[in-house]
Amino acid sequence: MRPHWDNCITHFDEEVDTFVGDYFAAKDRRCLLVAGAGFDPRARHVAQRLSVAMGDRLEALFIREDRLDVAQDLKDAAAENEQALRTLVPRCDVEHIAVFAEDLAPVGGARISRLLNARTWPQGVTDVVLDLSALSVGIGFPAARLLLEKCEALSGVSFHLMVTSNPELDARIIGEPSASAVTIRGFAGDPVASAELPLAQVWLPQLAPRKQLVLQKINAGGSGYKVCPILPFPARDPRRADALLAEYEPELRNEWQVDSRDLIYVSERNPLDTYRTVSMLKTRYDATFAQVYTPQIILSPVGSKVMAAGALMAAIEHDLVVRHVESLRYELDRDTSEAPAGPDMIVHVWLHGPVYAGYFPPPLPEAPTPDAPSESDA
Amino acid sequence: MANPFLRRATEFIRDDSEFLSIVSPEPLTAFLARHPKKEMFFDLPVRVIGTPGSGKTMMATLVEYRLVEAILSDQSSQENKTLAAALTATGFSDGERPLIAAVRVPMESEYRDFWELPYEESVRTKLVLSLIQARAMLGLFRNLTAHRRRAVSDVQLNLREDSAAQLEAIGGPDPEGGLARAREGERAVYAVGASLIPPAVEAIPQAANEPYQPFESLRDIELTWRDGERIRLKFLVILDDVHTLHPEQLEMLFRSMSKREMRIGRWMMMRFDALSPATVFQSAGEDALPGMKRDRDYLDILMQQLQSRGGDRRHFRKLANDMSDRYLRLVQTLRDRRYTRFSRLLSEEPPRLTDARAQENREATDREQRRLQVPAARRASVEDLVRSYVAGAQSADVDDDVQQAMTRVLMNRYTVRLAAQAPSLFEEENPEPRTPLKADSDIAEAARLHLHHRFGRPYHFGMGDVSDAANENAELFLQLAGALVDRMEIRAIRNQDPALNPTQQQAILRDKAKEIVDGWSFPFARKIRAFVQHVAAECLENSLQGNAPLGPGANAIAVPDADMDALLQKEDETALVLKYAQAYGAIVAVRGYGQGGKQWCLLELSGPICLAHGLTLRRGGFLERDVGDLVTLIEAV
Repeated sequence: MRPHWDNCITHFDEEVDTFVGDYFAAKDRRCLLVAGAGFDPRARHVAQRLSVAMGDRLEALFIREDRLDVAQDLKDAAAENEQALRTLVPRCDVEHIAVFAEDLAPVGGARISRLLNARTWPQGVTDVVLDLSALSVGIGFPAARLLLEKCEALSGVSFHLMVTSNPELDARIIGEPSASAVTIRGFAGDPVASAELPLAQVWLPQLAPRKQLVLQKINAGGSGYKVCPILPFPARDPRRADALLAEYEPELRNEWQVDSRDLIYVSERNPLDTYRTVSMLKTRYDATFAQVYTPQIILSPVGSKVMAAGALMAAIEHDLVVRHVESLRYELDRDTSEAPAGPDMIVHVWLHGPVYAGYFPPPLPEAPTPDAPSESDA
Repeated sequence: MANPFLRRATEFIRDDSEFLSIVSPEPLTAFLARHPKKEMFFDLPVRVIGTPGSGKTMMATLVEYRLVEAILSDQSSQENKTLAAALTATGFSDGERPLIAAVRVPMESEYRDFWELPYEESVRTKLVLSLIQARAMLGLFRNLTAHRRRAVSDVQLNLREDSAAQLEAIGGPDPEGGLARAREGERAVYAVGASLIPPAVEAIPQAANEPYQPFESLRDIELTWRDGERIRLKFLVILDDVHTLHPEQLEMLFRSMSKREMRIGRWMMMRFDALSPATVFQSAGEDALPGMKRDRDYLDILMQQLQSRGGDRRHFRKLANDMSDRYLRLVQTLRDRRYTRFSRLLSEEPPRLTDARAQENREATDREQRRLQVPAARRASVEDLVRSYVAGAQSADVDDDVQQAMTRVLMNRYTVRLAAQAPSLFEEENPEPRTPLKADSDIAEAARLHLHHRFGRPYHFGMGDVSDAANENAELFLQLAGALVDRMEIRAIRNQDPALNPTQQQAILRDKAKEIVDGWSFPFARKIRAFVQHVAAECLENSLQGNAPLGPGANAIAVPDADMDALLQKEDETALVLKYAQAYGAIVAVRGYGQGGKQWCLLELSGPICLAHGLTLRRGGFLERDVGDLVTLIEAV
């Protein structure tokens, strides 16, 4: 249990710069940065900030996700990013992870876990930063869980998540989905086939532009008892949730048969909002179905990285199932007729560390007993 | 209101009664009851192979014990009676009692994940086999007790005479012990496979490591049927979607399921993905594994036959009719207005050009005559030919618009035939071609295609075209039909007749087909999309030639059959592209197609491509190519 996650220390945008300047600039800090070195234009932002503050006290492991049949412009962009990252963090390793096996099965999660587990932990590290900005969900989620578990097993090591997010840019990165959905390595949840009670599943797909095919494939995996789509609101574009509802109308109406009361709105900017919302849902769902069904919540964070970070926290804390469809290849839609991308938003979430040593969760309000008369009855 | 046609997989309908109300028995009849080796279905391992959406999972769900029991227990509805007859014809029941206790085990991606574990191959395989068997046993108990007609204790597992030694390993003689052992095994193996960092091989929990082989031990199952009658059932395990396994994993699974001493039925449902290109294209002599002969060691059930295709289309039209009527009854807007026959809502009334367009059409014939310098007498005789065909034509779609276009095609043919023969020494006003002209249904079809592209006259409409465009794929048919139903609902809500005229059908089908093709997402989809679109453009160019050299037009390319075998054996990228194109229904390969004294391998474009590009759905028109052309084309796209 990680009660401090409800009130995790977070920083946004300029606050992140201030925090990095204050905290990481301290001479006794030694940091390991784990980040993606792909084509994503946001790949360098976190490394840039940390390298300015830390200099040679910063080490890094950059992950290059190798996919099939990559477009030449994206290959060039990835090579350029890798070179820039090597310059920013001279003490770095770049590791290539083949996301697909020879039979086109997605195996990136297993391979990143093996890589991180086999890696010698650097001496004297006080902080580990995972930058999810340029890592895919299939790689980033297992990496986050493994690094968190490692940091929790050590004493005095802090674990931070950082995400540079840009929903408009995310919408322009188009993945060609692989043949079928998979469960992310390390996020398979409890066994349900052997459960004595019948299964009651709730699927929480995160709606994002042009991801219908991906979500259809995930739903085809049988996770269809109840569907509660997650929508971004509040969001930088206040109409984004409406646009998504219009875009997903056929799926919401015909395929998933979603009741409009089951839509979940979470902040596009604050990952803790997603975390708290999913956590609350999990608690209520478990209480409702106790002794009647085996409840299972399935997450599919296919859109904004910030919301995905919140989903990641909920999945780790409550051992939820996370299903996704790996992309065979990406394309960057350079059509500028749509709304131009706004400025990048950066988020820092301090997940674990000595800073929480004295944390005591606020007392929960006492739940009324069913038989106790309420004030209105009096 | 939800459109049930657009719910993709019937297996996710939650209630058995809802499932039974829409499921059609036709796949059972078409693919199982007519299979020449159906008496061996429960003795030999069976591979059920089909494209996505061909109805594999629906069929597997329908024969699961809990549904068979539900169908046999309630014979009050016509739907259940029809389903019961199909189950009897396929050996799942004797008409009153079930004979088979079938369980579907979905092979999700987690089984493939075991292949990534850092253990020896034998350990990984043992874990997967244990997990499959544990889940199959859990599924068996869940199915047998689903309707609360019996408790677990009422079920008796009878073992083979020579497997008493394995009794303890599968949980002892009583069913509760068997169930508990299956639960324990499932949890233990699952924990190993799902872990982020797998345990060292020596730290694998004992419950996962111990031998667990109920498939090899079981002989049959005994339970109480109605009125205290004890019956014996054969256990059938259906492993669904085994193509998700690693090829070597699948080979080992197949071999372990093929052990002769096994007494249970074993079906493995798969897409073509798991097979080699040569097997996907059904090259002669291709067997599943070395040393294993089809029909001797195992059986194949193909959910889409590459041979006897005329028969397939007829079967599928029947299935599509049946399925669409069942689904239509769930569309409340239309049901409330008593529309229960889907085909009746697709008007096949011959389309007519507007007066202005019809005039333009007639003028085009005059212009064509002048351009080709066809004498008036020849045109008159061509028009006589057309009129004579029309008088006896079976199709009603032969109005003046079509006749004008037929005349143009025949005048073009006349010119081409004259040009091909040696000119006469004497000037003739109206020379006779050596091969006489003939007006037939092929010319009429070519005329309709030309009118479609030149004047926008609807070409694809009617129930026949919708089911033919689905390539015998139930899910594809439902997608096309679903788009039509959407429009029907809108019209009904607006208080208009929901029946769609040909123009409306054409527009909806074309848009939906484009959407389907744009949405393809499977290995090499981008390359395959570009390849089939290139072929479609070539076919269209040929089809629109004035003399319609292939009659209704082309919708395929063909290469010599023997050369195709050699190409597929290479298993290079071209072979893989062709394999996935066939496996996911982008093309339909037809082997050994005899024409012109040669054997050809036809690569027919799928229905959605024909709809999107306005090509004929009739089979047989192809463009001759050689393997070199094919390789160059695939490499270029």
